[in-house]
Amino acid sequence: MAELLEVEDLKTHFVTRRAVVRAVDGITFTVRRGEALGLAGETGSGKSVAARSIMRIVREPPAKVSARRLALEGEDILGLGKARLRDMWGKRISMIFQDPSGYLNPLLTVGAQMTDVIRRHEGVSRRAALEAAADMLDMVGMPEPPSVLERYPFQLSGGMQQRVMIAMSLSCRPSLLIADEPTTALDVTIQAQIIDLLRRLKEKTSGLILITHDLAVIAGLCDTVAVMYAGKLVEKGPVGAVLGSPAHPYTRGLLEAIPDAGAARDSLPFVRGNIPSAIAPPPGCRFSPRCDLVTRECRELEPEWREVEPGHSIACHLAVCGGGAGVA
Amino acid sequence: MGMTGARVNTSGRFERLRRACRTIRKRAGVSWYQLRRNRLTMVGLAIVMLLALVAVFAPFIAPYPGDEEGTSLGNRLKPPSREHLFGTDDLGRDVFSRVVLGARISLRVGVIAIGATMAIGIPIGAMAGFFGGWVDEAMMRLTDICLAFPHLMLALAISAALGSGLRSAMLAISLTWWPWYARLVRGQALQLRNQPFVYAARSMGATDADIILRHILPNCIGPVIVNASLDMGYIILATASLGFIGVGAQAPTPEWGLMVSTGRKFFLTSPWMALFPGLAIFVAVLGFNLLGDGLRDVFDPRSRPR
Repeated sequence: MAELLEVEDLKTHFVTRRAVVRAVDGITFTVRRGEALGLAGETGSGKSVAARSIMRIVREPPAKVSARRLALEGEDILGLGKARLRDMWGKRISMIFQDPSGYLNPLLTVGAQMTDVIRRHEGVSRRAALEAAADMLDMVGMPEPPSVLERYPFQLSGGMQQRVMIAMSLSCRPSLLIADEPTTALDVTIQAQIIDLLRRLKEKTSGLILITHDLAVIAGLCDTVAVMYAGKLVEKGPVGAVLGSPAHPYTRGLLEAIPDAGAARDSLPFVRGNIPSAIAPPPGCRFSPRCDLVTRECRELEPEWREVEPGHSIACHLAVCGGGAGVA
Repeated sequence: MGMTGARVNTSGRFERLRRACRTIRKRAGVSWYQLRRNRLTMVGLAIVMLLALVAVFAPFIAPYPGDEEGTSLGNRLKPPSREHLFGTDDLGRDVFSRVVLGARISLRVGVIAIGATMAIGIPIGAMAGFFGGWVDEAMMRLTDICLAFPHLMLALAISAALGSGLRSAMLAISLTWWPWYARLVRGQALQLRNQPFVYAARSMGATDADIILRHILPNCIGPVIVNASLDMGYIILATASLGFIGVGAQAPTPEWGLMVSTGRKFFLTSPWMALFPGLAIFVAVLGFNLLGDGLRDVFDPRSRPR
């Protein structure tokens, strides 16, 4: 089967007493085997919630996750009970997080935490689990794995902690790895090392979803990219096509906003305005209030998906009537 | 397995143990340093250790360890002297010996009652805090009910049912004390269950039991230890009160509260009978409170500026 993960019309609504927050409001994409998907978008666009909904790890309630189809390796995830989901987490899907320091238990050694995961899913002896953990640490480029296994998280640097998290999440050879802004909390040199590591480790899993607002990271790591805005996807396709010739005004805005150290400028370009409320999103295209090319149609009608070139599609009215949207 | 796996094997159990010891020493070193900086805490620690030593070696320290030994009615109500440091009581028994033997009783009652209290309170609190919802609601209402029981009344009821004695006293104390631990641990669990590392453990497939035992409980042990050492004092006091009102230890047990109670009748003529056991209670409670306060400063640095 070519499709590793199929997501069709995924919605995650948080139902509170006063309002319904539509954090993710109908997104559709697939990750094929061996593929790395970059999920891009600004803060609050719903990227993380989308990823957590795919794992079904968001707390339900208050969240309500629905989809026309949500399947991992052809198996429906939406219907799984709590126990089955737990067996899946860490074994078939794992996740790594933004700030590695908080995600490790301060009172347990690295070895204890890693063997907990391995023994939970593989049912091996403590000794075998320790050896497997040492091998994993070796794989993520940690010097002296046996001594690291005996250390506590506070004795490790941020970069080392993130390597431990990565080693831990890959220790049961999951099919899908979700990396939720894995480099955001790290400084630039460590960022480069972690990205390098992820690129190397991509081969170890069948698929990777990388969540970030850093398009450069996606360009260096991913095969396909999906751009998210206010709970919806606005553009998706192969990395070269989307980042090389972005078609949606939002994607183009994001790309233009990347500062260029070489060019002297008085002011940085940016996308004006803020992300709209997820409680009462604007009618029509959700980006319309911030779009420079907005038409009356945009404000009234929700745009449909259109293919601008094979495999590269956008949800924008201008793709047909504007024409000019295709150039970068 | 690879080369690194082999290295784990050859490093051997001994080497691993040695490293673990070093880590523990290093961590203990930090806490020790923090403890030592506070002089009052050291006083508390000294009192508690002295008390423990006295309790352990009571039969060797007491000049008249047996009840009958040195007892003679001709020797009753003698003031403190070289022979009887704390004087003698109305039956001619050596008060010093009885105070020393009483340390054993008070400490044992304290340890057992705290143990039972924690055994009931901690699991209830952890489950209430971790699961939340109706589990929390049900367990906390049960806690409120037990908290509303005046422990002296409950002790009276229990000793009426089971007969007076130290066992009834301990039972009464445990049954009225556990709610404090349930509340304490619940608060900690509520905070901890939203910690990123708990989320990460969940995302790796950890079960609820794994999370409570491996991630929640170890992380709330600090406040529990502080409370336990503070409560040791209060429980000794509570045991003494029960003994004093007559539903705890029964004569001739050398229990401090009971001794104060008996001594009360002779207070005007022979004050030493009530005074010394009373002082022992005072010193023991003070010691545990000072130690507990110091431990709190170590475990919870936020409460330090006082």
